[in-house]
Amino acid sequence: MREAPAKRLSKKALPVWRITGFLESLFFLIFPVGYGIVSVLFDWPLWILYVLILLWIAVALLQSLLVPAIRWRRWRYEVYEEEIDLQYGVFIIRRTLIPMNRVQHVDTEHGPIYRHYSLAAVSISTAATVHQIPALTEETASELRDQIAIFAQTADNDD
Amino acid sequence: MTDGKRLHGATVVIMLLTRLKDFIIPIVFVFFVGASGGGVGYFAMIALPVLFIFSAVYSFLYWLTYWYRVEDQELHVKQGIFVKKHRYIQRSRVQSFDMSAGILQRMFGLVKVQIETAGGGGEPDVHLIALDRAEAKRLRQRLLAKPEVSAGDEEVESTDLKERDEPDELEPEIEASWALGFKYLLFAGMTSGGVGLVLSAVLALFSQVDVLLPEAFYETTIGFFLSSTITFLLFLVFMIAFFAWLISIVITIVKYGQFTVIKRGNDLVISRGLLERKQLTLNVHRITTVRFVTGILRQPFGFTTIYVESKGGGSADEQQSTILVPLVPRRTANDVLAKFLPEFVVEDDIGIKPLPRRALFRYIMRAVVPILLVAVPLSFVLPFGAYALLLVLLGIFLGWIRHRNSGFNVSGDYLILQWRLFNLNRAVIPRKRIQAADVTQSPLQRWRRLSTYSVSILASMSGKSFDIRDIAAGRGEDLLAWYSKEVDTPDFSREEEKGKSMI
Repeated sequence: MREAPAKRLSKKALPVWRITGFLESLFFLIFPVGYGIVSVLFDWPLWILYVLILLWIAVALLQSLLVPAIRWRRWRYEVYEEEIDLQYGVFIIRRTLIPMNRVQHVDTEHGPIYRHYSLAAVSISTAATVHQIPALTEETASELRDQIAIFAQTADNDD
Repeated sequence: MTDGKRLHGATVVIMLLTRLKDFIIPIVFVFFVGASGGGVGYFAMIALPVLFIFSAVYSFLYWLTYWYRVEDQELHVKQGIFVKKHRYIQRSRVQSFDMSAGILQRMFGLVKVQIETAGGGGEPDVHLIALDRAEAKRLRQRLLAKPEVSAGDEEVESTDLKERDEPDELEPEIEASWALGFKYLLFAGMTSGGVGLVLSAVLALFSQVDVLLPEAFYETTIGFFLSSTITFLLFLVFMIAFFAWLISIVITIVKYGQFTVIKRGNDLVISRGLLERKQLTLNVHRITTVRFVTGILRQPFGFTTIYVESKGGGSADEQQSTILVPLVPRRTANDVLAKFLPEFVVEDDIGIKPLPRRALFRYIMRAVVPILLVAVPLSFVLPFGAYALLLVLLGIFLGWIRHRNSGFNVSGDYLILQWRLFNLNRAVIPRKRIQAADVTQSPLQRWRRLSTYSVSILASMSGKSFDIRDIAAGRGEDLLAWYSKEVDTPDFSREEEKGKSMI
């Protein structure tokens, strides 16, 4: 197999992932807050609360600092005339090949946070699967989308 | 041309009876409660006729407002009593044409037709409740035939009306056929492994019934059980299992009785069922994978089942696949397959590349850990629970045999994956049917230089993926390169390089 694909995501993916990672970690606040309320009501030991708070801080740090950094470093993609090559994953590394003649359509998408950083994601759909390249600058994303659309049209169909 | 055709008039009766069938349990319930007097009984006396009349009127209106028509290149269905719904289905989008006859349809000598297109949810796109058989065949012919042919048909039909009454003549010759003999059918039932399913159904039924049984019955029976000997109890358990087995045989016979497959042009027509005749038409070009499944009970006898994955078709009790051949000796499986899908035949002697030895431990762990999770708590809670730990031996054996039977190979443009959960599966996947392929590697796999390879294909409702766990990382790369168009096909026979980094 050839070397890992070379193209990387936009550097601005990092702040976006940090924000979303932090927002996700807020969900886990349920555990310390919930235990806090119950421990006051039933007079349960406080040290568990401290442990839970520490755990939450660890999760929040992991989610908003470490994970985005690893994810950015791992994310690679490359678009060839005949196929799309993706490699990503924080703990589990995945490398995916999508032949051009399987591509049914390509979309670019951007939510509110993406728009603020003028980023976009490219979604590639085959008949059976959907793949996404996240956090590209808007120009790169639309160039990539058009490029894939052209390649997908000209790819010879061995169906 | 007018609005098109209506369904057969018997649709009204069939619909009415199907709806009433759904009400049988509430009706029976109401009668029981009603018998004990009170307002509920009166309520039922009024509600039931109202329900009946409402259903009858609804069924009649449904029939009255349901029209369908085959136009040049599409099927047009118009339905709806209050809200009108028009549906146009492109002929080229029709994925499967399913003709079946339930008991009700059979009473009138009619058939039910379900038409599916690519995508869509769980419901068939078009559901024609009752058509006479000739009309259904004509519809199938017009929807599935090649466009050029149908243009010819149109002329024939307009000039010579007689042709319309003999639609069979328009159908291409039968090229191949296969039927499941009764001996095989019986054997299929005996080894179906449906006993567990029937047993659990019986147990579920009992757990419902016990609410209704009087207390005294309980006391006598339990007293009886306690006073009887172990031998007798074992005999009882054996008898229950035996009857469950007999029931499961009957179920198989009813479901797969008179199983036939014929190939007509590019269509495979699979018919089956004793009580409810089902007929499914699949286009061979829509078949994405052929899978041989050797049941754990059938393996010693050397029998296998051939499934196909296809766009359209597929049923829930076959995990969205379709059974092409329910039971066939493994020796002749390829000969049978060659009659219907010659392009999927891969010689058996191509062999399967085994997994590396270092994957064995992971396979054993995966089989043993779930057992430990149950057995360890049990051994603390139950007096003889520690015996549950013996199951661990079974887990080790299962992990070992899974590791031994898993593997892959490629033969030209075909990928062969083999794996076992309990049943042995062997999938033959053409490269051009694979939608995307990927290799994944977890940190532990990276340490052991292993990876998981998976491919996605189209199946009846949506995508399906087949994967093979813990192949050597280098082989994972090779398989990805095999799928790639930009990279030269690798040499699978080379020895694996030590310490080669992955992905």
